[in-house]
Amino acid sequence: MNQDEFVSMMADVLEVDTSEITTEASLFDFPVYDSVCALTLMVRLEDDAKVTCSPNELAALKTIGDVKALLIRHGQLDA
Amino acid sequence: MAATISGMHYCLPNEVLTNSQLEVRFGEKAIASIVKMAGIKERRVVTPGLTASDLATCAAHRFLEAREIDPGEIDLLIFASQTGDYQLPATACVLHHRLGLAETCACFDLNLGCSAFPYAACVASSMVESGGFRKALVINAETITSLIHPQDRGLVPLHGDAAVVSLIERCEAGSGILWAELGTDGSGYEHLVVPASGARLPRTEETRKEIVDETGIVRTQEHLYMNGPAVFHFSLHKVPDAIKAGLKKHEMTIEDFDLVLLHQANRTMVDMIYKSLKVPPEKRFYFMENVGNASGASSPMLLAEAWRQGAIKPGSRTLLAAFGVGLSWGVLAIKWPSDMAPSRMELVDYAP
Repeated sequence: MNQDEFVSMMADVLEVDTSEITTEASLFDFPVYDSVCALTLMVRLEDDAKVTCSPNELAALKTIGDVKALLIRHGQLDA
Repeated sequence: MAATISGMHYCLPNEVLTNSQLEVRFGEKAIASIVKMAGIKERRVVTPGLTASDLATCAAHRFLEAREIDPGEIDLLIFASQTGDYQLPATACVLHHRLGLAETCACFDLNLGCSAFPYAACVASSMVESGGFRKALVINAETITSLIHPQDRGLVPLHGDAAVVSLIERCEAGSGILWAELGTDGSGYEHLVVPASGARLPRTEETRKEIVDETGIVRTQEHLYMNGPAVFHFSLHKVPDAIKAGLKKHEMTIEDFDLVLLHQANRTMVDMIYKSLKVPPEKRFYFMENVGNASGASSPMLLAEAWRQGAIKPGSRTLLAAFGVGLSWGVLAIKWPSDMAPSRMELVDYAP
């Protein structure tokens, strides 16, 4: 997955414009982000980025930067 | 000797809970994402006082009448549920009385949730195959909504209630229930649990206090709790692996089956498992949009509905997998007998 695809996926999950997807942004600051949206993110990571995210890894995601780091850790995001 | 499911019928409570009603209860935005993920538009839910055994009695009476089966012929009854009438006696004994079964009929409960149908079908078919029993009724009935806090916006939109009756009898060799693969991961028991519901945590004033989590979901310790990510992760990984292992063990593949049925937990999850197993669209079947996830009654209701709609043909093969609370799972492979009857049951609404 490249950076543009990552931004587009996150914007889709968080139901915002791509301009709002910044590394520093907290997931919890997006109105749509709740326990169900977290599951949607889990599904999209699996489906779009081929990354299996464990429940503990999901719970540790606080910012968009954390999601990015997870994908890089799994070798699924182009630097 | 072989055993097969020779007939089915299901019964739904009359009360319909729509997405519009949920929008009023929780707010449109609050449930938009779960409704989108679950693919459920409305659910059938019990009203206070209506129990799983009431739905079960209605379904069983209708089924026995339609098939012109004397209740005295039933020699085995398994009631599979986690919402029985009492802690004791077994609800199967209550049903024995309500259905007018013979004193020679063996009756017992099987306490499992979403995975209950493959387990109960495996037990019943094994008892029939052993030669000791001829006509076994398996009843999967759940009123899971009675265990969910009405303000739990994570669980209310997903669930419904139902009862399903299956008759298991002897059949021609080479047909019927070909095999069952059953499994458990007890380390996940806390992921789907009603904490204050038995001896471990007795019910007190304290357990009746409402808890509001960080996302605004409300429940008490006397209501169902689900660790969504853990259950999702289990379903997306353990379940396809268990199905693949079962197929490999029995030297079969998805291509050997005409229909692949999965516990109707939610549409997104079911589709991801289908995708993982490479199940083509023509072998998929869904039944949750208008009924919700009925826990242990979900997978047999799916099978009964596929039968009603003519999606199951004589001589065809069906693979069914059910999974959830426990954590527990079961996979069932069925080859339908060449002389199987079409489903004749039309009424599904509860009538006392």
